[in-house]
Amino acid sequence: MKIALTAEQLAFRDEVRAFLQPWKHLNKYLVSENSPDLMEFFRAMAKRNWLSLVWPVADGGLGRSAMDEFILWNEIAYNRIARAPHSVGIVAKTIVRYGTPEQKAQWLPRIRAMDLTMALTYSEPEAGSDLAGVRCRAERQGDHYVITGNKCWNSRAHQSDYLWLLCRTGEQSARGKALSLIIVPRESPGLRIRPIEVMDGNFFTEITCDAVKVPVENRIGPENGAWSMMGAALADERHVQFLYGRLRRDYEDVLNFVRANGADRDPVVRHRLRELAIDVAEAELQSLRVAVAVNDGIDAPAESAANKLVHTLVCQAIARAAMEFGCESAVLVDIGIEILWRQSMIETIGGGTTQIMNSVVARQRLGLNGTK
Amino acid sequence: MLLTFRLDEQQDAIGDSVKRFCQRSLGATPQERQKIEFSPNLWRALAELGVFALGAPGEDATGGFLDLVVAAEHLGRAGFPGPLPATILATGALPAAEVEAVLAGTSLVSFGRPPLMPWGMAGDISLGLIDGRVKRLDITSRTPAETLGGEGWAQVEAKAGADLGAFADLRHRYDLPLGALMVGAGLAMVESAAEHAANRRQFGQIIGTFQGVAFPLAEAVVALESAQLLLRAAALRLDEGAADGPKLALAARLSAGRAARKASFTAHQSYGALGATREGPVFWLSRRVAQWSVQTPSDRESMDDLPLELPSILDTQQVETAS
Repeated sequence: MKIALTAEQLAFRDEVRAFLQPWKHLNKYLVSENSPDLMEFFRAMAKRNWLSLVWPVADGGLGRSAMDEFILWNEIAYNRIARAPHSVGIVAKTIVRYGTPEQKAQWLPRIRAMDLTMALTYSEPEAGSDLAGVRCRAERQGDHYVITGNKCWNSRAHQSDYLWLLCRTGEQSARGKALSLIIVPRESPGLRIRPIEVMDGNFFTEITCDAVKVPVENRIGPENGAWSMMGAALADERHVQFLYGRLRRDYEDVLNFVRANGADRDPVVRHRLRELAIDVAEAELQSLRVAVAVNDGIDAPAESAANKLVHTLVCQAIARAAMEFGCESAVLVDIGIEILWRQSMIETIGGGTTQIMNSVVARQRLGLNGTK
Repeated sequence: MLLTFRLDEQQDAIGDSVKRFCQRSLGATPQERQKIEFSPNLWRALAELGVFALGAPGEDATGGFLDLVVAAEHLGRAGFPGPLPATILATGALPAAEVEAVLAGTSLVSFGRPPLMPWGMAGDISLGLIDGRVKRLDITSRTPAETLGGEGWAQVEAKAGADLGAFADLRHRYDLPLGALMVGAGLAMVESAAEHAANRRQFGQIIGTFQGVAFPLAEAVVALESAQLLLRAAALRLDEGAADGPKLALAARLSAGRAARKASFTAHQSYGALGATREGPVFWLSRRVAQWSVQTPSDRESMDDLPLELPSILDTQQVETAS
C-alpha cells in the first residue's frame, strides 16, 4: 500500500495549479459546459490538449494516464470551476473506442478543441434510472434514421451543439439489447427543446423528437449495441465524476464562514464540523481507491458506487450543516453558502441515484439482490 | 506508480497468520468464539505470534503500524478478548526494561481513568489517563466490575505515579488498534447479517431482495470500508514518520467507531428476533463495540481532540492554501 504521487505527477499537479490561477473567479461550480463563462476556460485547456489528456495519441490525445486525468479534474474541482464535460469524456471516449476512422476524423478534433459540445440525452419521462426502458425510437429508413419520442432531465441540451442520444432501434421487449447511440444536431428540424431551470441555476431540458432525420453515419458503434458501450464509457469516467477536491473546498468554505460568524465557539457546531472533517477524509480515500482501479484497468463497480454514495451524501451533509448552524447570513446569495445547499440536492440523483448505488453495493459487495 | 491500496506480501501473511491463529484458538464459528473468555495463556499465545511488537519502538518492532492494523482487523473479526490497544500504547510509553514482558504477554496492561479500569482485575501494569498525561498507577484495591462487554474491569483505588508522557503524543498507538478492532468486528457483523439475509425467506422471498433489508447493510459496509481505508492510510503515514499520522489515526479511530456502531445496530435488526438474543450471532461483537466506544478515552471525549482541519492524505498543499 502506498499513497503518494510520483515526481512527474507532482510536477503536473503544480502545472495545473499554475494554470488555474487566472480562472479562480469561476468558483461556483455550476455547470459542466456551454456556459459562456466556462467556454473560454475550456478553450484554454484545449490549447494545452488537456481536454484530450488521456485519449490515445493516434486519436489526437496526449496518451496520459487516468491518474493524471484525476489530478487535473480534482484540482479544477477544488477550485469549484467546472465538472469534466461529457463531450470530452463519455462521448469522446466512446468514439475513440467504437467509432470508425471517418467518425473519429469528423468528431474528435472539434471536441478536443471545444469547438462543439454535446449533451447526454439518455433519460426520458418514463426511463430515468431504468434506462433499459428507453422508448424514444429511431427507425431506419434507407441511409437515415427517423427519430420520434421524448427525452427529459437532460442537462443543458438547449445550449449544446449536438445531442448524444440514446434511442431504441429494436423491440421494446429486448430492453437494453435494442438500444443505439446517435449524434443528433441540435438544430435538426422536428427537434424541440424546452429548458427547465434547476434550483442550483443549471438547466435540465425536455426534448421532443418529431420525425427527426439523422444520417446513419451519425450512429456510433453497432446498431443495438449501446448498452455495453455505455457501460464501458461509465467505467472510463468513474475516476473523474466524484472528486474529493470539491468536498474539501466546500468544507473549507463552510469552516471559514462559521469562523467568520463566531459560530465555531459553539461546541455543538464544532462537533458537527469534526464529523464533516472525518467525512471528507473518508471521501478522499474512496475517490483515490476508484482512481487507482481505473488507472490499473480494474473494473470496480462496487467501489465506484461506494464512492458516489460517500461523495454525494457528504456534499449534502456539508451544505445542510452550513444552513443549520444558525448563522443568518448563510442565506445571503453573495456569501456563497446557500449555493452549496442548492447545488447539493441534485448530487444524489444525477449519475445514478443513491438508491441505485445502494443496490450496486448490496449486490456486488454483499451478494444481496435488493431490488424490491 | 506510487499509489496502490494493495497490501504487500508481508501484510497478507500477517493477516493470514492471525486469521489461522484465531481459528485455532477461538474456533471457526461465532457460536464457538463467543464462549472463549480471556485467559493469560491465550494472551501469551497471541504474544508469541508477534502481534504486540507490531509498531513497537526501535529494535523490538517486528513490523509497522500498517501491519498492526491488518492484524487487529482480524482480531476484531474474531472477537479476540484482551486489552490490545492498551498493550500497544504501553509498548511506546513504558521503559524498555518493562516492555519485554508486555511483548511476551506475561505482563498484562490495564489503561483507563481511575476508579474504573478496563481489564483492571487482570492487569499487571496499570496506566492512567490523568489530566492529559499517561501515568503509572499504584493500585491499592480492586473490586470486580461486571460490564456489558463481559471483560474483567475493576473499580480501583489508585495513586498516580511516574509520568510517562503526554497522551497526545502516544495516543496514535491506542487509536489505531482500537479502530482496527472496531472495523474488523463491524465487518464480521455485517457480512454475517448479509449471509443471513441472502438465505432467510419471508413472504415467499429471500429477505435480501427487500431494499429495506439490503440498503442499511450496504450503507453499513460502505461506512466500514471508508473507516478501513482511513485506518490503513493513517498507519501508512505513521510508518513513514509523517507529521499528520497521529491526527489521521485519531480521525480513523472515530470513523471506525461510528461505522462499527452503525454496523452493530444494522446487524441486530437484519437478524430479527435472533439478533436480539444473548447467544445470537451479533451481541457477542456488538457489546464489544459499544464498550470500545466508551472506554477511556471515549469516542465522545476523543472527538474534542480532533482538529477542525484535517490534512489531505494525498496532498497537504490544499490545506495550507486554505489556512
